[in-house]
Amino acid sequence: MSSLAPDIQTMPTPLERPKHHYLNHNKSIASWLFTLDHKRIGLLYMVTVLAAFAIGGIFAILLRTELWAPGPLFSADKTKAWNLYNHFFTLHGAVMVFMFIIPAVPAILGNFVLPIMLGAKDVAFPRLNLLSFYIYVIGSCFLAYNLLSGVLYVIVGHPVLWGGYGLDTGWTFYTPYSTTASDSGVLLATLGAFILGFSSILTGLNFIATVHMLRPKGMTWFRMPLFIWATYATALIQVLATPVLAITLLLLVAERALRVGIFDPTIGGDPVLYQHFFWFYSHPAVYIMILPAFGVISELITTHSRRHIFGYHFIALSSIAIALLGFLVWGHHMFTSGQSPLANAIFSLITFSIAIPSAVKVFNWVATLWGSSIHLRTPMLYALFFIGLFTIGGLTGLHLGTLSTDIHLHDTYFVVAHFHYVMVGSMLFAFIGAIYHWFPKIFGRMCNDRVGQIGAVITFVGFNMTFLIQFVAGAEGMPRRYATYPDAFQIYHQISTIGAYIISLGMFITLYNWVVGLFWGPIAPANPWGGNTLEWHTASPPPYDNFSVSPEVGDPYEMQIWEPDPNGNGWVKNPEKAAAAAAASHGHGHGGAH
Amino acid sequence: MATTASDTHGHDPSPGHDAHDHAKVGHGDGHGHEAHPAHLAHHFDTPEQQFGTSKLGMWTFLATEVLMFGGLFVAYSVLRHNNPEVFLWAHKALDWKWGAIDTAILLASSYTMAWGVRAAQLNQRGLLMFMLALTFAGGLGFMGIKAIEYEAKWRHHLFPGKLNVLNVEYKGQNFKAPLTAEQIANQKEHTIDYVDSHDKPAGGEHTMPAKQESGNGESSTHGDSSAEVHTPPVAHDAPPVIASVHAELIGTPVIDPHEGTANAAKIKPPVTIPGGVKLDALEPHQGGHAIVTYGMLHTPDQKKINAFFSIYFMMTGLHGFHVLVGMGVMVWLFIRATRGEFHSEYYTPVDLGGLYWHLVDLIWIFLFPLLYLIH
Amino acid sequence: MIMQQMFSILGANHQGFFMPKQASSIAPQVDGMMWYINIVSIIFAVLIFGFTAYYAWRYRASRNPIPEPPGHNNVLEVVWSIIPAFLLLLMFGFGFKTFMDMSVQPQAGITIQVLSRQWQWNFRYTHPDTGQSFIYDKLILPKDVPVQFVMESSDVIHSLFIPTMRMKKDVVPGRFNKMWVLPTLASEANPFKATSPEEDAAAWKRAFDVYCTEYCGTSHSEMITKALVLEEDEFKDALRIASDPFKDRTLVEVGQELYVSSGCKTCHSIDGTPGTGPSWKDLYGRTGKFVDGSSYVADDAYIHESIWDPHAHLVMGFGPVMQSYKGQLDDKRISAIIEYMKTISSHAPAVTPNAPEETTTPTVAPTPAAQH
Repeated sequence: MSSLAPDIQTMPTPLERPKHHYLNHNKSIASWLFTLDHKRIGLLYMVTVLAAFAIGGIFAILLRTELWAPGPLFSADKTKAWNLYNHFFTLHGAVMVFMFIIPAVPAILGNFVLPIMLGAKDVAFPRLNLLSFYIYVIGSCFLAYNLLSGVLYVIVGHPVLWGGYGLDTGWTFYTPYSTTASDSGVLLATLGAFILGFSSILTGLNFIATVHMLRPKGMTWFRMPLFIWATYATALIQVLATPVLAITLLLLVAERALRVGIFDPTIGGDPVLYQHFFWFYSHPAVYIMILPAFGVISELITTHSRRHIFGYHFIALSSIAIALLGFLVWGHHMFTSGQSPLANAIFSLITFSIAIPSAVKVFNWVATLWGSSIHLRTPMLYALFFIGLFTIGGLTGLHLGTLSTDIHLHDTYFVVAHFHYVMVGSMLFAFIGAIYHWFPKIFGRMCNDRVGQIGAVITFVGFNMTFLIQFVAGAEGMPRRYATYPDAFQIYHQISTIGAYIISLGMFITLYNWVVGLFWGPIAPANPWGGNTLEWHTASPPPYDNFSVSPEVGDPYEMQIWEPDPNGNGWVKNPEKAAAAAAASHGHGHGGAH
Repeated sequence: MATTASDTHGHDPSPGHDAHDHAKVGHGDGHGHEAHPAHLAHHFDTPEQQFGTSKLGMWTFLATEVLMFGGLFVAYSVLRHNNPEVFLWAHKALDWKWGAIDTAILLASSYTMAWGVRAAQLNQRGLLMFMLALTFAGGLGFMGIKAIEYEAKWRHHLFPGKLNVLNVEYKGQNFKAPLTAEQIANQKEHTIDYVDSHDKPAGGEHTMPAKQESGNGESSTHGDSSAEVHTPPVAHDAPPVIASVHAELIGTPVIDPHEGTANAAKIKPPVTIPGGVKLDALEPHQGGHAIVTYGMLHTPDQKKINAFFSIYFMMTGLHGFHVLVGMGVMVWLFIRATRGEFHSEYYTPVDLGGLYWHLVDLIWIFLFPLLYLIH
Repeated sequence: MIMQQMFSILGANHQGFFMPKQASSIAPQVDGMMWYINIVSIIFAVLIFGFTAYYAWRYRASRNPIPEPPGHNNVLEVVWSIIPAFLLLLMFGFGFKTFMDMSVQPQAGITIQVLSRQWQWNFRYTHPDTGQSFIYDKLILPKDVPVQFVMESSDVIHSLFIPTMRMKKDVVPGRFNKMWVLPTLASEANPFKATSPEEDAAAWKRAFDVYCTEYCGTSHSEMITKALVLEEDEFKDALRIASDPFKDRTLVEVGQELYVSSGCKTCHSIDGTPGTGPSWKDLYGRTGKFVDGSSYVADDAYIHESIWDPHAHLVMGFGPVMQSYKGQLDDKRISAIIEYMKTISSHAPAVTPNAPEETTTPTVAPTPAAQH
């Protein structure tokens, strides 16, 4: 019996899909719109979140196109062209941050995978889960409507749709520009973001309760898969940080509508206070974005290299450390705002402390690869790219955390490059890898691996072309949020713009691959990759109640109990090895993960 | 918008979920059907697990509420630190007696709520309903008093923001234009009645807002009120006095370029307003602290009274909204209690509603001294 | 200490990859810091990329079908936490030390007030002889003399950034943020010694860029000016020339320059193109309507009011966007602007464009609302 899994595309024996699964459990529209099934809710999120990604991506292309050359492009009237650009970059940022990145992994994959990984039938509060989704939809409608109609407003010169004045303040809404000087639809946009925040809070609340209370017998904290540790840490941040955003946006609305004056210096307020409030949420928010990605990478690397994770405890606890430390560093976005040198020093020191747990994770992942048995499938490719790109993103964070260099680099393209490396190069790559990884489980079909690899490489090349050069531009002084620029910077912008178009090519290839896989892909086995987390112990797609037979809880990374199926249909459990592993882990008591 | 978790932490089977599923699909948890109470959701193994999960969810939700109000408390601290005299003066517009009654009502309603939870645990349906009604009444009383207080503000035109009567520059007038004597005389009707009697200034029942010319120290074309201005008038094209250059002032908020350092205590001598109304220096309050009147506020601070009213309305408004939501929860619990849905085996919604109400009470306990009892 | 000196020297001799010229006393230290961080980053990046790529090749499934048993090594975990922690602590320490140097001005020097508004920088200098202050739209800095900037904004948050000097600070309305620079590199050309407008423009082009780096609205990307560094005596001469734009020039020339330097061009075109504000082409002397329906004639008094109190009367079709220039444009400068406007308006009375030192006084007393 070969110990290698044969290429899944050349399976000799055709598989049959399970007769009853969650997708055909009830096929009416109402059963989808009012579903309480966490799997269906995850799919609903997938549709809306990917749509948001498309919108955000379109505006990225538009703004990069404007930046091809100095001078106005989309309009002969300079003022109109700059206004359009300002709406584009604001829209790109707000849609991507609020409607895409923050919900993406938790709401789609967390919802789908987390309960199954716990051997549970659903999340703790299924109805709250559905409410979360609809709150997301409503908030997104506010935001998207306002932003898109605002672009129409700028183009045409007067509001076309009721209330549609768009948003040109940047996704950060800094006062006093957003409260007094901007004539765009700040109220409507802020309201949208406010509502979206509640979706995030309720999802986090749900996951916290689920992880605490719905773990099966035998799954102690240190026997949970790392994806759950990561999602749990994310949920902690969602629950504690997002309410501060809620009150910040509420104050912004009050300031703008009623001129209450909390941020208005002429009547006793303080514009920098807004920045403190805003970043107190928004810095932990970036950890909401990246921690689930870390969890995904832990799963992808272990499964596709068939080796137990190296340093399980360190990775698990580093997620919690990052979540907690992340609350203490918001001031590093404000080094040049005029806050005291003492505050600057404290924020800088604590910022460095977050680098350690992040670095520890990366080292542990690389150490996991040693001595492993790597299958360079599409998800694994994305995971390896993640390691490289996150390394760059994280290391350039050091330049920005250091006080002296940050004074030079703040609000330049260096910052833009840094956060795109962590948000796109890291988080997006992990997200796409995760979708490929769990695609067979979610849809019961396989995607074409070769096309997936091509898409990954194209995206990787395009991404680096776009953003690597921006570090250079920023170090040379190119400021952010500029619609036009001195001629000397043009070559950097042109390289970036070409790279952006290459990224969109990669995205189209990936989307194409998913659509083809969804409708015409080969049937997927229960365990195509040979992972041992509990979702692979059930059928693909899973039944409505997730498990036909309650799963045995063991070490989530005990990959060796799985062997390639002699029929070529993925991996199957070897009963003797499984029994041996179960006996061994029961002998360990709890905390059996290495 | 706040959502209460208590209405979604229940257990009712809902559309799309076949209530028989959990029996049909073997899920290997060994439940006989009779051991499966109706209120147990399909994804929980035992009622204890479900109850514990609901409580955990509720406490997490309360944590989010604490953080949300926490932001407001931080804003309060910053505004108060930057504008201490404004807070000393402006809080007098609130009557601490009403605030104290509010506090007592909420504390009492928390007590009745806790009693209600106990009643549910002991299967005392009638008592539970009565306690819920009392709690609701407490909330109603609280909101009623809020209405009285807000109405008083309305009457005195003490709104937040630009509608506030004391923000002269927001009344459509040029910021730099001094008021005419006639305009000042017309301000007479916009005074603050001191609702509590022991704070009446010696000068009489009403104090006039002092209306010197606008605060830039520019030369006024009328009245001798310019003589009382804190800084000498500066010709408009003279170079401004640049604030002294010390490292410790880096980033310090400076209110007015023509001033010296910011936020020094400023109590002014008696001022004369055109029209002959005189404001005396006021006697100390019985409690031993000085009364600060509007006229005694340093001129730039007179434009900053928003610092107090804005945070007052934001905090009490958001809190009041939460009280209203809580009252809605009480009504819903009452209706369900009428239907006999709560008993010793299952009283989760009552428990969770109680937790929410206690939080609302707790927030008020902090709001009251911070807003009403400033010394 | 030694290490910091090492990095300063490294920074002084090599400006670091992709950094601008070093034009201030702090730039070598900042560049030295960039060197240190870049070196540490490259080492770690090479290690991580290297091991990852090597393992991906060495342990691919076809070559290594049986994976090793699970491993863990607490000693390794501690080591690879401690070493980076130490390197990072150094990074923090040096960065903080340099930052403290950036915060405290080494010795007394001159002070320049920075006036920022949407979307124009202006600077207020003290005349070297008379002590009077005057406003100029570009930065003129003395070499080897510390300069303190006291910065104010009249509307939203801006941020003053001089890349060659490695200095940046936000300008926050309601506060006076301060920063200092000690310029150490003189600019390559001195426009104040130029003999023609072309030479002047070319000289300014070679001065150092000054950007606004806090998003402030529509024309944020055009809120750019230049910083000129001159030896001290040339610096004083430059100030003398800059302080009196009227010297040896006609009012029209001054007006034309003010059109650019005061930021009028951001909203008002001179060729009829519509913008945020009415175009100046054919403006002077024409009749028009205000938003309330009343009509006006664009005479001297009207122009004066529009500049000092722009919201008093709004032209039909335009909103209350413009800020007042009271305190920045005095009567003389407004006269210059009016003279310039006359040259591009077909409604203006015929004027001889090169008459020197023409002063026009408003013929009609401004309305009370316009007066302060």
